[in-house]
Formats: sequence, structure tokens, C-alpha cells
Amino acid sequence: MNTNEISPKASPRLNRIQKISHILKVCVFFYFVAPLCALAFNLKNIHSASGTISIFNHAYASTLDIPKPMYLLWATGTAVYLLGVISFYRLLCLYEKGAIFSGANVSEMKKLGGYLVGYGILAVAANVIYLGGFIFPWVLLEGFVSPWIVVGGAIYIVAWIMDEGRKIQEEQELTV
Amino acid sequence: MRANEISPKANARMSRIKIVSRIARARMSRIKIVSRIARFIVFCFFVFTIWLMLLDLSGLFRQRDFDTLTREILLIILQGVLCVWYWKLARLFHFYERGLIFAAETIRCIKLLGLLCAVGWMLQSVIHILLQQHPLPSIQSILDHLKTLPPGVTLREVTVTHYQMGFFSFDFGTGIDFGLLFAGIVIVLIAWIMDEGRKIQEEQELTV
Repeated sequence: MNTNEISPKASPRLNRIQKISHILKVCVFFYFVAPLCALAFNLKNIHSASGTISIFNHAYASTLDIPKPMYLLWATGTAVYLLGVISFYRLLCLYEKGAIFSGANVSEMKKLGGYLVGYGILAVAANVIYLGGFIFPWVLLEGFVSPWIVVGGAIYIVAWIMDEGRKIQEEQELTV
Repeated sequence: MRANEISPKANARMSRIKIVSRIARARMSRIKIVSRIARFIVFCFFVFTIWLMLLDLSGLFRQRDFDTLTREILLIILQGVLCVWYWKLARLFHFYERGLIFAAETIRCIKLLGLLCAVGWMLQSVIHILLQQHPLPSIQSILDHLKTLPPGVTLREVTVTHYQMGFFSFDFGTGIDFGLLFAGIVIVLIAWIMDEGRKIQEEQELTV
């Protein structure tokens, strides 16, 4: 058996990883794209004049009531969201290729964590605009316990630790 | 050359080993510091959630209505799940602190975090269904209760459609947010992939 070949026992495991990653990739695609398609097809039926519009969970009676900075936050939030989805999709592609503990993998995880934290910060900023000012303890507390910031931060730290562990392993493997 | 002496070639290798182990030790100590800080922060969240849960528990005994009581109990259980989630996250950082980065225990801990997300989603859905079955009092019931409106007061019923710009949270028209369930499934599957990768690595290390 060639040294570069993957052992027959490892191969079914790798096949399983590839299969599951592929299924997950398809699921992710549908999960993020299907609602957007549904929204696009029903665009004619939406009458914003007879309903409320909610941005970052803050409801406004009409588009005229939405402050200008909120639009900017909304646009940035959408960009961060899309970047997050792309990053996650790339991560699954890497898993499908069989790269599980690689540098690219960890870098995508780090990016994903960063986007989640970024989205959380935007949500806190939106709250400040909605309230019309910085209400000292509450805004700070909301930012501190925001699930986006907590989960994103945890993902970022875990990815960083995994990256350091990977580097240690690589260095040890290279030392003869 | 004496037998006990190290050859110049081996000496260079030895110094390389020393440098690499020094770098590895520095990296490991950095991991330990970051994990300890993260564990402390997560522990603070854990204590804060327990405090909130105790506050809700003290208010529970004042409830007389059965539906409200059920809802409150479910909310407390949900907070309990959140507490366990924080506890497990702190444990994950504890494993990292010990240097167990790609170990089986660490991956099992990540899997459990995903499962807890799914359990939290289930509880949230039950609360949502309960709220749908026993909604807030309608206008008609308020009218029945008031019998007659005060003079000068007219009642107007308005139907409002709500458009929400939410991220990672889709209800597919059911009213139940599937975001948490999706996150849970994804975490479990990624942990599974990591576990399989670890097993492949272990097997390859054993293959000579």
C-alpha cells in the first residue's frame, strides 16, 4: 500500500463525512434560499401600507417612520448575513473535500464567528437608535448578553484554539 | 570522537527540537490563558441565568391561573436548559485549558451543546403552541366584560400585518422559529464530522 493512500478503514469514514457534508450543504442552500424565493414570489401581495415593518426586531408603522441610520444598519446587517452564509457554505465545501482540521477550515470558522459578533454589535447599535440614545446600563447589558455576541465570540475562541492546536500538531509532526 | 559526545549534525537537530518545543509550550500557555478567561466569562453568564431563574421561581408561587402557571414553568425549564448550556460551554473551555483540543471528550461536549440547542427549540415551540391555544383576551371578551363602553369612547378593530426582517430565523409560515433547531442540528453534525476526522487521524497514526 502506498504511504499517501488512505487506509481502507479510513476511506468509508471519509465517504460518510463527504456524504453528510453534501446533504448538509443542500439543506443549508434550501434553508437560506427558499424563504428568499418565497418572498420574491409573494412580493406583489405585500402591502407595506397596511402593516408594520420590523428591522432588528424593532417595529415601525410605516417606511416613513424608519430613521435614516437604520437603513444603513439594515444594509450592513444584510451584507454581514450574506457573508456569514457564504462562509458557512465554504466550510461545508471544505468538509466535503475531506479537509477537517486544516488552516482554511479554521479560518472560515473564525470568519463565521466574527460575522456573528458583528451582527450582534449592529443589533445593539439599532437598539440605541430605536431608543433615541444610550441608556447606560440596559444597552450595555443587552450587548453583553446578546446571543449573537456570546455565540459568535464562543465560535471565534474555539476556532482560534483549534488553530493553535493544529499548529502545535503540525510543528511536532515536522520535528524529526 | 567519544561515544557519549553528540555529533554536530545531531546537535543542530536537538536545538531545532528545543526551539519547536519552546514554541509549542508558548502556544499551549496562550491557549490556557484564553480558555481560562473565556471560562470565567461563561461562568458569569451561568450565574446570571441562575439568578434570573431564581427570580422567576419566586414569582411562580403568586400565579393562580393554570395556563399562566404552565407557561411560567416551561419558561423556567427553558432557563434551566440555558444554564446547562453555559455549564457545558464552560466545561468545553476547561478541556481546552487541559490541552484536550481534538479529544473525544471535547467533541462529545460540542455535540451535547448542539443537542441542548434542539431541546431549547422544542421547549420554545411548546410555549408558542400553548400561547396559540390560550391567546390573550380578544376585543369581544373585553367588550363582554365591560358591558357598555364609557361615553365618548368608540372601538375600532384594525388588522395589522407584520413584516419582519430577521436573520437566521425562519418560521416557514408556522409561527415557530426554526433557527435554533437548525443551529442545533448543524452543531451536532459538525461535531460528528470532527469526531470522524479524529478517528481517521488516530487510525492513520497507528498504521505503519
